[in-house]
Amino acid sequence: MIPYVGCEYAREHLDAFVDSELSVDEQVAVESHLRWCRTCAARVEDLQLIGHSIRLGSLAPPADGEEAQTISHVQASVLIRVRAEEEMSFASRFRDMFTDMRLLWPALGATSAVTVGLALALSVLHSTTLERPESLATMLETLSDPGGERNPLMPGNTARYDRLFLKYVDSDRAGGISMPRALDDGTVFESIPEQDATFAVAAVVSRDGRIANYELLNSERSGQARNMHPNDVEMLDAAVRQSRFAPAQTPVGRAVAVNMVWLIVMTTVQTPEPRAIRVPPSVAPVNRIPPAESIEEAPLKRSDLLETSTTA
Amino acid sequence: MQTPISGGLVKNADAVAWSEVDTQEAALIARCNTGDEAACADLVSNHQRMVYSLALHLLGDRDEALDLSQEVFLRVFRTLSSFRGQSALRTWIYRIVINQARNRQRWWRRRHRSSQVSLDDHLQQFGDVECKTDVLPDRQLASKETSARIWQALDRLPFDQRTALILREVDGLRYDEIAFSLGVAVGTVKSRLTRARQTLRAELLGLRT
Repeated sequence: MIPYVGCEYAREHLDAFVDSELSVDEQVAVESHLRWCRTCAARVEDLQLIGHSIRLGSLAPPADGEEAQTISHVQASVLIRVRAEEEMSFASRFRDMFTDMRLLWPALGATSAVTVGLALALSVLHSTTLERPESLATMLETLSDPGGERNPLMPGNTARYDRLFLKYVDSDRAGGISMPRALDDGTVFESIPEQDATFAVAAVVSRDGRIANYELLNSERSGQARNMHPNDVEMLDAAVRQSRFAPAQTPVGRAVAVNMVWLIVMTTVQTPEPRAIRVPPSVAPVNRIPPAESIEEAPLKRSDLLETSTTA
Repeated sequence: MQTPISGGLVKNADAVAWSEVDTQEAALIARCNTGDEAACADLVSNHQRMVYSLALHLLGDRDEALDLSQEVFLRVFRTLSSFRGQSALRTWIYRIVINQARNRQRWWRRRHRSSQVSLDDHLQQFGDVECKTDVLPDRQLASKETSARIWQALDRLPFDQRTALILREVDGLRYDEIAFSLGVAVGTVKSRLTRARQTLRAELLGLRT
Protein backbone atom coordinates (compact mmCIF):
# COMPACT_ATOMS: atom_id res chain seq x y z
CA MET A 1 0.00 0.00 0.00
CA ILE A 2 1.32 3.40 -0.97
CA PRO A 3 1.34 5.75 2.03
CA TYR A 4 -0.30 9.13 1.63
CA VAL A 5 1.92 12.19 1.98
CA GLY A 6 0.87 15.82 1.97
CA CYS A 7 2.41 18.83 0.25
CA GLU A 8 4.41 19.86 3.31
CA TYR A 9 6.18 16.53 3.53
CA ALA A 10 6.61 16.29 -0.24
CA ARG A 11 8.18 19.74 -0.56
CA GLU A 12 10.75 18.88 2.07
CA HIS A 13 11.78 15.88 0.02
CA LEU A 14 11.55 17.19 -3.54
CA ASP A 15 15.28 17.85 -3.81
CA ALA A 16 16.14 14.38 -2.61
CA PHE A 17 13.46 12.99 -4.96
CA VAL A 18 15.03 14.72 -7.96
CA ASP A 19 18.46 13.49 -6.88
CA SER A 20 17.18 9.92 -6.34
CA GLU A 21 18.40 10.00 -2.77
CA LEU A 22 15.16 8.76 -1.22
CA SER A 23 14.50 5.21 -0.19
CA VAL A 24 12.20 3.20 -2.41
CA ASP A 25 9.19 3.73 -0.14
CA GLU A 26 9.78 7.46 0.01
CA GLN A 27 10.38 7.69 -3.71
CA VAL A 28 7.08 5.91 -4.43
CA ALA A 29 5.18 8.02 -1.91
CA VAL A 30 6.45 11.32 -3.33
CA GLU A 31 5.86 10.14 -6.88
CA SER A 32 2.23 9.25 -6.07
CA HIS A 33 1.84 12.70 -4.53
CA LEU A 34 3.11 14.34 -7.71
CA ARG A 35 0.40 12.63 -9.77
CA TRP A 36 -2.35 14.73 -8.28
CA CYS A 37 -0.47 17.81 -6.93
CA ARG A 38 0.23 20.17 -9.82
CA THR A 39 2.10 22.66 -7.60
CA CYS A 40 4.65 20.12 -6.42
CA ALA A 41 4.91 18.65 -9.89
CA ALA A 42 5.75 22.10 -11.24
CA ARG A 43 8.43 22.49 -8.61
CA VAL A 44 9.95 19.18 -9.64
CA GLU A 45 9.96 20.24 -13.28
CA ASP A 46 11.76 23.44 -12.30
CA LEU A 47 14.35 21.51 -10.32
CA GLN A 48 14.91 19.16 -13.22
CA LEU A 49 15.21 22.09 -15.60
CA ILE A 50 17.80 23.71 -13.34
CA GLY A 51 19.85 20.51 -13.31
CA HIS A 52 19.55 20.17 -17.06
CA SER A 53 20.60 23.79 -17.59
CA ILE A 54 23.63 23.35 -15.37
CA ARG A 55 24.73 20.25 -17.23
CA LEU A 56 24.02 21.95 -20.53
CA GLY A 57 26.25 24.91 -19.68
CA SER A 58 28.91 22.79 -18.11
CA LEU A 59 32.43 23.80 -19.05
CA ALA A 60 33.61 20.22 -19.08
CA PRO A 61 36.27 19.85 -21.74
CA PRO A 62 35.67 17.48 -24.63
CA ALA A 63 37.58 14.25 -24.90
CA ASP A 64 39.63 15.48 -27.86
CA GLY A 65 40.85 18.79 -29.15
CA GLU A 66 43.36 21.38 -28.08
CA GLU A 67 42.11 21.59 -24.53
CA ALA A 68 42.35 17.83 -24.10
CA GLN A 69 46.00 18.00 -25.14
CA THR A 70 46.56 20.79 -22.64
CA ILE A 71 45.10 18.66 -19.91
CA SER A 72 47.36 15.79 -20.84
CA HIS A 73 50.31 18.06 -20.11
CA VAL A 74 49.26 18.11 -16.50
CA GLN A 75 50.56 14.59 -16.10
CA ALA A 76 54.03 15.42 -17.36
CA SER A 77 54.24 18.62 -15.33
CA VAL A 78 53.14 16.91 -12.16
CA LEU A 79 55.60 14.04 -12.54
CA ILE A 80 58.46 16.48 -13.15
CA ARG A 81 57.58 18.44 -10.05
CA VAL A 82 57.18 15.30 -7.97
CA ARG A 83 60.63 14.13 -9.06
CA ALA A 84 62.07 17.55 -8.32
CA GLU A 85 60.55 17.57 -4.86
CA GLU A 86 62.03 14.19 -4.07
CA GLU A 87 65.44 15.38 -5.15
CA MET A 88 65.19 18.59 -3.18
CA SER A 89 67.68 18.54 -0.33
CA PHE A 90 66.73 18.90 3.26
CA ALA A 91 68.54 22.22 3.43
CA SER A 92 66.43 23.61 0.60
CA ARG A 93 63.26 22.48 2.29
CA PHE A 94 64.43 24.04 5.51
CA ARG A 95 65.11 27.33 3.74
CA ASP A 96 61.71 27.23 2.10
CA MET A 97 60.09 26.97 5.48
CA PHE A 98 61.31 30.47 6.24
CA THR A 99 60.46 32.08 2.92
CA ASP A 100 57.07 33.08 4.20
CA MET A 101 57.91 34.89 7.41
CA ARG A 102 54.30 35.81 8.04
CA LEU A 103 53.87 32.43 9.61
CA LEU A 104 56.94 32.69 11.84
CA TRP A 105 55.58 35.07 14.47
CA PRO A 106 52.20 33.34 14.81
CA ALA A 107 54.05 30.04 15.12
CA LEU A 108 56.39 31.43 17.78
CA GLY A 109 53.48 32.99 19.61
CA ALA A 110 51.49 29.79 19.51
CA THR A 111 54.50 27.79 20.71
CA SER A 112 55.08 30.22 23.58
CA ALA A 113 51.43 30.14 24.54
CA VAL A 114 51.41 26.35 24.56
CA THR A 115 54.59 26.26 26.62
CA VAL A 116 53.26 28.73 29.18
CA GLY A 117 49.97 26.87 29.33
CA LEU A 118 51.71 23.56 29.91
CA ALA A 119 53.91 25.07 32.60
CA LEU A 120 50.88 26.53 34.36
CA ALA A 121 49.01 23.26 34.13
CA LEU A 122 51.97 21.32 35.51
CA SER A 123 52.48 23.78 38.35
CA VAL A 124 48.80 23.56 39.30
CA LEU A 125 48.98 19.79 39.09
CA HIS A 126 52.13 19.76 41.21
CA SER A 127 50.67 22.05 43.87
CA THR A 128 47.52 19.98 44.13
CA THR A 129 49.45 16.74 44.58
CA LEU A 130 51.65 18.05 47.42
CA GLU A 131 50.71 16.30 50.62
CA ARG A 132 50.29 18.58 53.62
CA PRO A 133 51.25 17.02 56.96
CA GLU A 134 48.17 18.42 58.69
CA SER A 135 45.76 17.20 56.04
CA LEU A 136 43.16 14.57 56.79
CA ALA A 137 44.56 12.29 54.06
CA THR A 138 47.99 12.36 55.66
CA MET A 139 46.54 11.64 59.09
CA LEU A 140 44.54 8.71 57.77
CA GLU A 141 47.57 7.35 55.96
CA THR A 142 49.66 7.72 59.12
CA LEU A 143 47.10 5.97 61.28
CA SER A 144 46.75 3.17 58.76
CA ASP A 145 50.48 2.42 59.00
CA PRO A 146 51.31 1.61 62.66
CA GLY A 147 54.99 1.08 63.04
CA GLY A 148 55.93 3.60 60.36
CA GLU A 149 58.21 6.53 61.03
CA ARG A 150 55.27 8.89 61.37
CA ASN A 151 53.38 6.54 63.63
CA PRO A 152 56.01 4.83 65.79
CA LEU A 153 55.03 2.28 68.41
CA MET A 154 56.18 1.77 71.96
CA PRO A 155 58.33 -1.32 72.57
CA GLY A 156 57.13 -3.81 75.12
CA ASN A 157 53.67 -2.38 75.33
CA THR A 158 51.72 -5.56 75.02
CA ALA A 159 48.34 -4.00 75.42
CA ARG A 160 48.93 -1.62 72.59
CA TYR A 161 50.49 -4.34 70.51
CA ASP A 162 47.47 -6.53 70.97
CA ARG A 163 45.06 -3.81 70.13
CA LEU A 164 46.87 -2.65 67.00
CA PHE A 165 48.57 -5.69 65.62
CA LEU A 166 45.70 -8.06 65.96
CA LYS A 167 44.01 -5.72 63.60
CA TYR A 168 46.79 -4.73 61.26
CA VAL A 169 49.41 -7.45 61.40
CA ASP A 170 49.08 -11.06 60.33
CA SER A 171 49.75 -12.49 63.72
CA ASP A 172 47.60 -13.50 66.62
CA ARG A 173 50.47 -14.42 68.93
CA ALA A 174 50.80 -12.64 72.22
CA GLY A 175 53.93 -10.82 73.25
CA GLY A 176 55.58 -7.43 73.08
CA ILE A 177 57.75 -5.57 70.63
CA SER A 178 61.47 -6.09 71.08
CA MET A 179 63.84 -3.26 72.02
CA PRO A 180 66.10 -1.74 69.39
CA ARG A 181 69.68 -2.83 70.07
CA ALA A 182 72.71 -0.61 69.50
CA LEU A 183 75.11 -2.09 66.93
CA ASP A 184 78.15 0.19 67.24
CA ASP A 185 78.59 -0.21 71.04
CA GLY A 186 78.94 3.50 71.61
CA THR A 187 82.10 4.05 69.58
CA VAL A 188 80.50 6.97 67.79
CA PHE A 189 80.49 8.92 71.07
CA GLU A 190 84.25 8.85 71.48
CA SER A 191 84.55 12.22 69.79
CA ILE A 192 82.73 13.92 72.68
CA PRO A 193 85.16 15.48 75.25
CA GLU A 194 86.23 13.17 78.00
CA GLN A 195 84.12 14.44 80.82
CA ASP A 196 81.50 12.66 82.79
CA ALA A 197 78.17 13.47 81.30
CA THR A 198 74.65 12.23 81.03
CA PHE A 199 72.31 12.87 78.12
CA ALA A 200 68.65 11.96 77.84
CA VAL A 201 67.42 11.86 74.28
CA ALA A 202 63.90 11.15 73.06
CA ALA A 203 64.26 9.48 69.66
CA VAL A 204 62.46 7.42 67.07
CA VAL A 205 64.31 4.37 65.74
CA SER A 206 63.10 3.71 62.23
CA ARG A 207 62.46 0.39 60.54
CA ASP A 208 65.95 0.40 59.04
CA GLY A 209 67.63 1.06 62.39
CA ARG A 210 68.37 4.77 61.98
CA ILE A 211 67.46 7.62 64.25
CA ALA A 212 64.57 9.23 62.41
CA ASN A 213 64.24 12.26 64.68
CA TYR A 214 65.27 13.04 68.21
CA GLU A 215 65.05 15.63 70.93
CA LEU A 216 67.56 16.33 73.71
CA LEU A 217 65.62 16.09 76.95
CA ASN A 218 68.34 16.69 79.52
CA SER A 219 72.10 16.88 79.86
CA GLU A 220 74.46 16.94 82.84
CA ARG A 221 78.18 17.28 83.11
CA SER A 222 80.19 16.27 86.15
CA GLY A 223 77.05 15.83 88.17
CA GLN A 224 75.77 19.36 87.65
CA ALA A 225 73.04 20.19 85.20
CA ARG A 226 74.08 22.94 82.92
CA ASN A 227 73.58 24.09 79.43
CA MET A 228 75.34 22.23 76.71
CA HIS A 229 78.13 23.94 74.89
CA PRO A 230 77.27 24.49 71.21
CA ASN A 231 80.18 22.26 70.20
CA ASP A 232 78.86 19.51 72.43
CA VAL A 233 75.47 19.81 70.80
CA GLU A 234 76.98 19.47 67.36
CA MET A 235 79.07 16.49 68.35
CA LEU A 236 76.13 14.84 70.08
CA ASP A 237 74.01 15.49 67.00
CA ALA A 238 76.63 13.87 64.74
CA ALA A 239 77.04 10.93 67.07
CA VAL A 240 73.32 10.31 67.38
CA ARG A 241 72.86 10.48 63.62
CA GLN A 242 75.67 7.99 63.03
CA SER A 243 74.28 5.51 65.52
CA ARG A 244 72.91 2.28 64.14
CA PHE A 245 70.44 -0.05 65.77
CA ALA A 246 68.96 -3.44 65.12
CA PRO A 247 65.37 -2.27 64.61
CA ALA A 248 62.59 -3.23 66.97
CA GLN A 249 60.59 -6.23 65.83
CA THR A 250 57.17 -7.63 66.41
CA PRO A 251 56.85 -11.25 67.49
CA VAL A 252 56.32 -12.18 63.86
CA GLY A 253 59.64 -10.60 62.89
CA ARG A 254 58.30 -7.47 61.27
CA ALA A 255 60.54 -4.43 61.76
CA VAL A 256 58.69 -1.43 63.19
CA ALA A 257 59.63 2.08 64.18
CA VAL A 258 59.48 2.72 67.92
CA ASN A 259 59.63 5.64 70.31
CA MET A 260 62.57 5.47 72.67
CA VAL A 261 64.16 7.49 75.45
CA TRP A 262 67.88 7.02 75.12
CA LEU A 263 69.98 7.57 78.22
CA ILE A 264 73.64 8.15 77.36
CA VAL A 265 75.93 8.03 80.39
CA MET A 266 79.63 8.76 80.02
CA THR A 267 81.54 7.73 83.16
CA THR A 268 85.21 7.50 84.08
CA VAL A 269 85.94 4.58 86.43
CA GLN A 270 88.96 4.81 88.76
CA THR A 271 90.36 2.25 91.15
CA PRO A 272 90.41 3.19 94.90
CA GLU A 273 93.67 4.39 96.59
CA PRO A 274 96.02 1.38 97.16
CA ARG A 275 96.76 0.53 100.76
CA ALA A 276 100.32 -0.28 102.02
CA ILE A 277 100.86 -3.91 102.77
CA ARG A 278 102.73 -4.49 105.93
CA VAL A 279 104.66 -7.70 106.07
CA PRO A 280 106.09 -8.91 109.42
CA PRO A 281 109.81 -9.05 109.14
CA SER A 282 109.89 -12.36 110.96
CA VAL A 283 107.85 -14.06 108.33
CA ALA A 284 109.68 -15.10 105.35
CA PRO A 285 107.93 -14.05 102.24
CA VAL A 286 106.11 -16.87 100.63
CA ASN A 287 105.31 -15.11 97.49
CA ARG A 288 106.85 -12.11 96.08
CA ILE A 289 104.53 -9.29 96.32
CA PRO A 290 105.12 -6.46 93.95
CA PRO A 291 105.83 -3.06 95.46
CA ALA A 292 102.98 -0.72 96.05
CA GLU A 293 104.09 1.61 93.30
CA SER A 294 103.65 -1.15 90.78
CA ILE A 295 100.11 -1.80 91.96
CA GLU A 296 99.07 1.76 91.68
CA GLU A 297 98.03 2.31 88.14
CA ALA A 298 96.64 5.10 86.14
CA PRO A 299 92.88 5.52 86.24
CA LEU A 300 91.04 2.95 84.22
CA LYS A 301 90.37 3.80 80.67
CA ARG A 302 87.17 5.71 80.14
CA SER A 303 84.31 3.64 78.84
CA ASP A 304 80.95 4.59 77.51
CA LEU A 305 77.94 2.86 78.77
CA LEU A 306 74.80 2.94 76.82
CA GLU A 307 71.52 2.30 78.41
CA THR A 308 68.11 2.41 76.98
CA SER A 309 64.82 2.77 78.64
CA THR A 310 61.34 2.91 77.35
CA THR A 311 58.73 5.47 77.74
CA ALA A 312 55.04 5.33 77.51
CA MET B 1 4.96 11.74 15.06
CA GLN B 2 7.31 9.91 12.78
CA THR B 3 5.95 9.05 9.39
CA PRO B 4 6.45 5.48 8.20
CA ILE B 5 8.53 6.57 5.27
CA SER B 6 10.77 8.96 7.11
CA GLY B 7 14.08 8.07 8.63
CA GLY B 8 15.95 6.62 5.70
CA LEU B 9 16.76 9.93 4.08
CA VAL B 10 19.78 10.98 6.07
CA LYS B 11 22.83 8.95 5.21
CA ASN B 12 25.89 8.74 7.35
CA ALA B 13 28.93 10.34 5.73
CA ASP B 14 31.15 7.91 7.63
CA ALA B 15 29.42 4.95 6.05
CA VAL B 16 32.04 4.83 3.32
CA ALA B 17 34.87 2.52 4.27
CA TRP B 18 37.77 0.58 2.78
CA SER B 19 35.26 -1.24 0.63
CA GLU B 20 34.88 2.00 -1.32
CA VAL B 21 38.32 1.42 -2.76
CA ASP B 22 38.39 -1.49 -5.15
CA THR B 23 41.29 -3.87 -5.36
CA GLN B 24 42.76 -2.38 -8.50
CA GLU B 25 42.66 1.11 -7.08
CA ALA B 26 44.18 -0.05 -3.78
CA ALA B 27 47.03 -1.68 -5.69
CA LEU B 28 47.59 1.54 -7.63
CA ILE B 29 47.73 3.52 -4.39
CA ALA B 30 50.19 1.06 -2.89
CA ARG B 31 52.46 1.34 -5.92
CA CYS B 32 52.32 5.12 -5.78
CA ASN B 33 53.31 5.05 -2.13
CA THR B 34 56.40 3.04 -3.02
CA GLY B 35 57.45 5.74 -5.48
CA ASP B 36 56.51 3.89 -8.65
CA GLU B 37 56.54 6.62 -11.28
CA ALA B 38 54.42 4.63 -13.75
CA ALA B 39 51.75 4.20 -11.10
CA CYS B 40 51.82 7.93 -10.40
CA ALA B 41 51.41 8.59 -14.10
CA ASP B 42 48.41 6.25 -14.20
CA LEU B 43 46.82 7.92 -11.22
CA VAL B 44 47.16 11.36 -12.82
CA SER B 45 45.94 10.08 -16.13
CA ASN B 46 42.85 8.50 -14.58
CA HIS B 47 41.78 11.62 -12.73
CA GLN B 48 43.20 14.64 -14.55
CA ARG B 49 40.07 15.36 -16.60
CA MET B 50 37.88 15.13 -13.55
CA VAL B 51 40.15 17.41 -11.54
CA TYR B 52 40.52 19.94 -14.31
CA SER B 53 36.79 20.00 -14.99
CA LEU B 54 35.86 20.62 -11.37
CA ALA B 55 38.58 23.25 -10.99
CA LEU B 56 37.33 24.98 -14.12
CA HIS B 57 33.75 25.01 -12.84
CA LEU B 58 34.79 26.36 -9.48
CA LEU B 59 37.25 28.97 -10.71
CA GLY B 60 35.95 29.70 -14.22
CA ASP B 61 39.40 30.21 -15.75
CA ARG B 62 41.30 27.64 -17.80
CA ASP B 63 44.80 28.73 -16.86
CA GLU B 64 43.90 28.84 -13.21
CA ALA B 65 42.22 25.45 -13.52
CA LEU B 66 45.35 23.94 -15.09
CA ASP B 67 47.57 25.44 -12.41
CA LEU B 68 45.23 24.25 -9.71
CA SER B 69 45.17 20.76 -11.21
CA GLN B 70 48.93 20.49 -10.89
CA GLU B 71 48.78 21.72 -7.30
CA VAL B 72 46.07 19.21 -6.53
CA PHE B 73 48.07 16.24 -7.81
CA LEU B 74 51.17 17.38 -5.97
CA ARG B 75 49.07 17.56 -2.85
CA VAL B 76 47.67 14.11 -3.61
CA PHE B 77 51.13 12.55 -3.84
CA ARG B 78 52.33 14.34 -0.70
CA THR B 79 49.41 13.04 1.36
CA LEU B 80 48.62 9.76 -0.35
CA SER B 81 50.38 7.82 2.41
CA SER B 82 47.77 9.12 4.87
CA PHE B 83 44.87 7.94 2.71
CA ARG B 84 43.17 5.11 4.61
CA GLY B 85 40.37 4.27 2.22
CA GLN B 86 37.83 6.28 4.19
CA SER B 87 36.25 7.12 0.84
CA ALA B 88 36.69 6.35 -2.80
CA LEU B 89 39.92 7.79 -4.15
CA ARG B 90 37.92 9.97 -6.53
CA THR B 91 35.96 11.51 -3.64
CA TRP B 92 39.14 12.08 -1.68
CA ILE B 93 40.67 13.90 -4.63
CA TYR B 94 37.49 15.96 -5.00
CA ARG B 95 37.96 17.07 -1.43
CA ILE B 96 41.48 18.28 -2.16
CA VAL B 97 40.31 20.13 -5.27
CA ILE B 98 37.60 21.90 -3.32
CA ASN B 99 39.93 22.92 -0.51
CA GLN B 100 42.51 24.24 -2.94
CA ALA B 101 39.87 26.04 -4.99
CA ARG B 102 38.31 27.57 -1.90
CA ASN B 103 41.65 29.07 -0.94
CA ARG B 104 42.18 30.51 -4.41
CA GLN B 105 38.77 31.77 -5.42
CA ARG B 106 38.40 34.15 -2.49
CA TRP B 107 40.84 36.61 -3.88
CA TRP B 108 41.15 35.45 -7.46
CA ARG B 109 37.51 35.80 -8.47
CA ARG B 110 37.43 39.43 -7.33
CA ARG B 111 40.50 40.34 -9.37
CA HIS B 112 40.03 38.27 -12.48
CA ARG B 113 36.31 38.22 -12.93
CA SER B 114 36.62 40.12 -16.20
CA SER B 115 38.82 37.43 -17.71
CA GLN B 116 36.52 34.53 -16.90
CA VAL B 117 35.18 32.38 -19.66
CA SER B 118 32.09 33.72 -21.36
CA LEU B 119 29.44 31.07 -21.39
CA ASP B 120 28.24 32.11 -24.80
CA ASP B 121 31.74 31.82 -26.17
CA HIS B 122 32.06 28.40 -24.68
CA LEU B 123 28.76 27.22 -26.11
CA GLN B 124 29.68 28.59 -29.52
CA GLN B 125 32.99 26.79 -29.38
CA PHE B 126 31.85 23.40 -28.13
CA GLY B 127 28.17 23.42 -29.01
CA ASP B 128 25.22 22.14 -27.05
CA VAL B 129 26.29 18.58 -26.35
CA GLU B 130 23.15 17.74 -24.42
CA CYS B 131 20.64 18.92 -27.03
CA LYS B 132 19.17 16.27 -29.20
CA THR B 133 18.94 16.71 -32.92
CA ASP B 134 15.19 16.31 -32.98
CA VAL B 135 14.69 19.36 -30.78
CA LEU B 136 13.50 22.42 -32.59
CA PRO B 137 16.04 25.23 -33.06
CA ASP B 138 13.98 27.73 -31.07
CA ARG B 139 13.84 25.28 -28.19
CA GLN B 140 17.60 24.86 -28.39
CA LEU B 141 18.09 28.62 -28.28
CA ALA B 142 15.76 28.91 -25.32
CA SER B 143 17.63 26.19 -23.56
CA LYS B 144 20.92 27.97 -24.14
CA GLU B 145 19.53 31.23 -22.84
CA THR B 146 18.10 29.52 -19.79
CA SER B 147 21.39 27.74 -19.21
CA ALA B 148 23.32 30.98 -19.49
CA ARG B 149 21.05 32.71 -16.96
CA ILE B 150 21.24 29.77 -14.60
CA TRP B 151 25.03 29.76 -14.78
CA GLN B 152 25.15 33.48 -14.16
CA ALA B 153 23.00 33.00 -11.08
CA LEU B 154 25.13 30.00 -10.12
CA ASP B 155 28.21 32.16 -10.32
CA ARG B 156 26.72 34.54 -7.76
CA LEU B 157 25.98 31.82 -5.24
CA PRO B 158 28.17 31.34 -2.18
CA PHE B 159 31.11 29.03 -2.80
CA ASP B 160 29.82 26.16 -0.68
CA GLN B 161 26.35 26.17 -2.26
CA ARG B 162 27.78 26.43 -5.77
CA THR B 163 30.25 23.62 -5.10
CA ALA B 164 27.56 21.31 -3.71
CA LEU B 165 25.33 21.92 -6.71
CA ILE B 166 28.13 21.40 -9.24
CA LEU B 167 29.23 18.18 -7.54
CA ARG B 168 25.65 16.96 -7.67
CA GLU B 169 24.52 18.09 -11.12
CA VAL B 170 27.75 18.00 -13.13
CA ASP B 171 29.81 15.31 -11.42
CA GLY B 172 26.83 13.25 -10.25
CA LEU B 173 28.12 12.63 -6.72
CA ARG B 174 25.85 11.15 -4.08
CA TYR B 175 24.97 13.13 -1.00
CA ASP B 176 27.41 11.21 1.21
CA GLU B 177 30.20 11.71 -1.31
CA ILE B 178 29.47 15.43 -1.47
CA ALA B 179 29.45 15.54 2.31
CA PHE B 180 32.88 13.91 2.47
CA SER B 181 34.25 16.17 -0.25
CA LEU B 182 33.06 19.29 1.54
CA GLY B 183 33.88 17.98 4.99
CA VAL B 184 30.35 18.53 6.28
CA ALA B 185 27.38 16.43 7.35
CA VAL B 186 24.88 15.03 4.87
CA GLY B 187 22.17 17.24 6.36
CA THR B 188 24.29 20.29 5.60
CA VAL B 189 24.66 19.15 2.02
CA LYS B 190 20.87 18.84 1.71
CA SER B 191 20.26 22.31 3.10
CA ARG B 192 22.90 23.84 0.82
CA LEU B 193 21.43 22.15 -2.22
CA THR B 194 17.94 23.29 -1.27
CA ARG B 195 19.03 26.92 -0.77
CA ALA B 196 21.00 26.94 -4.00
CA ARG B 197 18.07 25.54 -5.97
CA GLN B 198 15.67 28.00 -4.39
CA THR B 199 17.87 30.86 -5.57
CA LEU B 200 18.16 29.42 -9.06
CA ARG B 201 14.43 28.72 -9.21
CA ALA B 202 13.74 32.34 -8.36
CA GLU B 203 16.01 33.29 -11.26
CA LEU B 204 14.13 30.85 -13.47
CA LEU B 205 10.76 32.31 -12.50
CA GLY B 206 12.11 35.78 -13.22
CA LEU B 207 13.21 34.60 -16.64
CA ARG B 208 9.72 33.39 -17.45
CA THR B 209 8.08 36.67 -16.49
